[in-house]
Amino acid sequence: MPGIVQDPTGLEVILTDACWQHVISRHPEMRPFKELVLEAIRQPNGIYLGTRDPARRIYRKHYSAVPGVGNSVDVLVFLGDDNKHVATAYFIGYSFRMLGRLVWPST
Amino acid sequence: MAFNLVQRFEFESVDYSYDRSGDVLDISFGPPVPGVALQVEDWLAIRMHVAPPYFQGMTIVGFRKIFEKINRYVEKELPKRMQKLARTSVEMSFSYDDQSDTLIIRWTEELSGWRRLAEKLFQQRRTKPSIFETLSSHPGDSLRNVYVEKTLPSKQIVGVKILEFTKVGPAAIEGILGAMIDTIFEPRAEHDENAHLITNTLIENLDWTRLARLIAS
Repeated sequence: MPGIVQDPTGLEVILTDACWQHVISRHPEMRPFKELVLEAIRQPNGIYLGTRDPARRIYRKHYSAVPGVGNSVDVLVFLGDDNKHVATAYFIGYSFRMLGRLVWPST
Repeated sequence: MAFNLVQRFEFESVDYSYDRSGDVLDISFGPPVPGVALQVEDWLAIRMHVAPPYFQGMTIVGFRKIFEKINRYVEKELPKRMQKLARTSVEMSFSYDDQSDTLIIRWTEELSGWRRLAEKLFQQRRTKPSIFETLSSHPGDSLRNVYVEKTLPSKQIVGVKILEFTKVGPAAIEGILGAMIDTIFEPRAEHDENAHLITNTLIENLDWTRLARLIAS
């Protein structure tokens, strides 16, 4: 069953089974955390637009601890070009540069 | 505390997957294993295996869209480029000395498989003389403590040295990566020659010849 959630700006986002299979095949640590990916879209800490690809929407949510992954990690979720389907998702431990232009929450 | 960590990247075991619908390229050295990413820019992540720590691969989000601006055949040429990558291996060493608070990173490109054997049989390895130059000529920026090691006389970059590593290390690494990315995507901007050289070294290893020409222009 695909996961369909709404982000804080009202945008409906779909995580298809095919996409989830791709995510867990390349990022096996994500397997138990499909709900965290959906939560990152529903209740992110920030929504960004990419620097090199300004049409790319990125969701970021911070977790102080994720069992089996680590402490103080963020989930990043990237949407595809259609701004509707999830393209990929993974955990990051550190970000060298800004993720792009913050579009939510607006300052 | 002092340490010397050596990792050989055997690109023979390079494994990649390109998801056309999401435009996401995942590259791993060996089969994908659980890890955590370091986000270099919003489109580029380096994947690390946590225990023991080693470089596991990378993820490029928007691969076709970003790189088609540089090479319109980038998607079509992907299998060929990965095949070429599989013929090389790179040995990287990370040495830290607490007395001088200095981190030295060195890399050596080697051929894989029968090519490496042929090189060992027919060519003698010699240590080449090298010099260190500052990465940035601007005294105020985060790269002021970063020096690049170049062989003589070819001036090929073979390493990087970071002074006062505990104080400026993260900012220096961020500065190096930032300078490389800016060199690729903002070729008209003013960048230091050494930032160009580091970027070119990596690009040449991956055979991004078209990209290198763009940077040189």
